[in-house]
Amino acid sequence: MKVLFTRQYLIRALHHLENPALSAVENERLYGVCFRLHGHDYKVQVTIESEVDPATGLCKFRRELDAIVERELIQPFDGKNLNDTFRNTSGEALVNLFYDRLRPHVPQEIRLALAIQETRKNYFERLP
Amino acid sequence: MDEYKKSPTSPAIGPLEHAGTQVRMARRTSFSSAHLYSQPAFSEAQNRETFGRCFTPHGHGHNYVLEAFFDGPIQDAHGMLVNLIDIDQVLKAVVDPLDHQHLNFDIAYFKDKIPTTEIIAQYCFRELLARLNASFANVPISLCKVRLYELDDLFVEYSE
Repeated sequence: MKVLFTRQYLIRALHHLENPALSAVENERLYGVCFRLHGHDYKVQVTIESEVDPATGLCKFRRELDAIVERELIQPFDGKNLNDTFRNTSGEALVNLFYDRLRPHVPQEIRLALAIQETRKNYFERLP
Repeated sequence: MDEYKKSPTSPAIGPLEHAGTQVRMARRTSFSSAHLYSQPAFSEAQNRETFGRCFTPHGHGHNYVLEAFFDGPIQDAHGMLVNLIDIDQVLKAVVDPLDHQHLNFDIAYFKDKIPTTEIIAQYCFRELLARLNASFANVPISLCKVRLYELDDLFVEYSE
């Protein structure tokens, strides 16, 4: 039996949106308040599609997931400025960039999905 | 760039990550409206049986929360699917006519329909789609679905 298992992790990080080819006035017009350095409590929802172990009733890789997210996402980015690492820190890009960091560490047979609630009003989802 | 934004490791110059990658984005807005459930073809007893507390002479109100889900590629020009400032204007145009109104009596769409969460979701989807086609004709963005919350524990998803 396979199930979808989702865990939500919190990453409190800073970022701002900016196109370096544009002036400050043009950036302000394009990105509005997002051009200013600010922060979010990013709620990162990581989902695995995984086989349930009949002996334990727990899906496989459930325990390992926490350690990988801790090492690949929370340690590098919690309390940090995302612009130190990425050029594009929009929610659209972050769902893909975070997924890219986790994928190599999750066994190929386990399907992985990732979504981010950036604010109460903004939600982003990586498309398979 | 402001001094405090600078970082020795900031990859400010270089290719924009994931330009062109397909992504889904949801934006949330809200409106407060009154409604009541009544089917004129039903007897009073049938209406009470079918709609319970929602069948009242005056109706009652909710703080509706509308989430609109969009699909499309990350744009090279700004690194987003679409500018949220523009999306907010479209969403506002959809929900403003409903805000602080009685849906049964003030909104033409519901003159011959029961404004259930299901039907309001359908209304929001169609209004949003029409405005999206008009305002974002040159942007590769599609409306995937809307999710309408009547309460925290009750929502409807609608798409066509």
